[in-house]
Amino acid sequence: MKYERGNSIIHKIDPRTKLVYLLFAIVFAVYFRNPTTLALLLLFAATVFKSAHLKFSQFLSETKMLMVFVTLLFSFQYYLNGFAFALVTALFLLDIFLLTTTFIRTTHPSDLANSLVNWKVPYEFAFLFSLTLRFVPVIQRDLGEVRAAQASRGHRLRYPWDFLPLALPLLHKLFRQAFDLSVSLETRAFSADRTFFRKMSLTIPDYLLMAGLACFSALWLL
Amino acid sequence: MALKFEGVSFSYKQAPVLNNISFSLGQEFTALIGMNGSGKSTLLKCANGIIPKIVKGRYKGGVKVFGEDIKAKSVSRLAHDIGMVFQNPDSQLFALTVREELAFAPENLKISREGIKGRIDGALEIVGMGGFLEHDPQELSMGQKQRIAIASVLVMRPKVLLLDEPFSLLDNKSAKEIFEILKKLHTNGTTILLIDHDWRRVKQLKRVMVIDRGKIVLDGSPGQISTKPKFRKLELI
Repeated sequence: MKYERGNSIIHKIDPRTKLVYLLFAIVFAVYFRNPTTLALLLLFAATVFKSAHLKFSQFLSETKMLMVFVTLLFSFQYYLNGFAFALVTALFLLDIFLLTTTFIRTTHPSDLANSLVNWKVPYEFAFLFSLTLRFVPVIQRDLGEVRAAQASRGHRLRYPWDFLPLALPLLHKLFRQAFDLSVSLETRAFSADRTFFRKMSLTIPDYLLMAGLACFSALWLL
Repeated sequence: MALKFEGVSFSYKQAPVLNNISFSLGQEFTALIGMNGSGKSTLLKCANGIIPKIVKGRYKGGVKVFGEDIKAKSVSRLAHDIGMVFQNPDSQLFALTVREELAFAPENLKISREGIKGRIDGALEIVGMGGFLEHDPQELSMGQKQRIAIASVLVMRPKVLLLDEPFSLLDNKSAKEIFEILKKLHTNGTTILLIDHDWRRVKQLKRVMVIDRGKIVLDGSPGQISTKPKFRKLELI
């Protein structure tokens, strides 16, 4: 899962507006933990996802493991707490996955970092955050490589401890990569006191969206 | 002198990795060769302050860049004068497009947008990747990635360029092309210190240093050093 270039309205919205909406949606979902509200939120998330010209088939294939997790959790909750509770849990997770995926896929990591800096978040943290998003597909690729290497030696996933031969080399590789990258950044004069090549600015649609959200929040609170 | 080592010794734990290294480099293109574990990469890391500022250990001696002791400067500050290209471009490239990858260092140097644009175009022209501005570095071939890694350092316009086995992951054609780029950079005034294993390339240079168990054991032209018994003993060809 990574940023996909695009020309949709969702791509054009400022990352700060998207981030505010994402955080608001999470708070909203946590507060209204009932099937109807969460289903409506899922409908909203799906509409936003589709407006960004993203494909559901790709979303499902990339979140296969998460879907397995949601299904397992649903079954577990159904067994322990009944259908309504299981449905709320599953809908809540699907809402969060879909909204977060849309955010990551439509938000350029550098723009996100710049936006956070505009909000007075220290550049080091903003850069780290954007770097994390950037490295999600790299970690997925590395995991694939480790799995292939272990499978070629007869490794199979049967028990929980079978994850160790995957996790250990992957972690080793990631720590090594993180160290090498940090050294490489230092040798390129990494500094928070810097200029920004990409320009960012809030546009009229951003202000309208923010105003819309403010009105919605006011109504909710009343 | 562009770069001067004065009695540099370094050890990570007990065993010394570098042992009283002294040499100086003018505006030269020099190769550093040696067996695996001989201390080549460690020496390079001392040249731009990674050792002892980031990688800690027991460090003695001093390094001067254009007559100034590097002790007082951070690695970031030294980057203005010394650029470093690592063996694996995958551990250097992080941005989504080549343009952003190359903009990163000049942004750190607080260069204006127009200035950054000019530097990016110039660096890409040098490495012959002009049409790749919007490409994702992760999706390029290894040879192209290494060119971008070199360009991402060239945008800082360093006077000294350190390269740690930049050809080791490349095919012959890519390695040859990048070597030609380096020769051109040297002709234009850059001091280059290159770690390499390929004697066919190394023998084209005017100066080669051989390091063995943390000591510079041979230093001279390829013609001179290749006749020495020590050189034959090390089986570097």
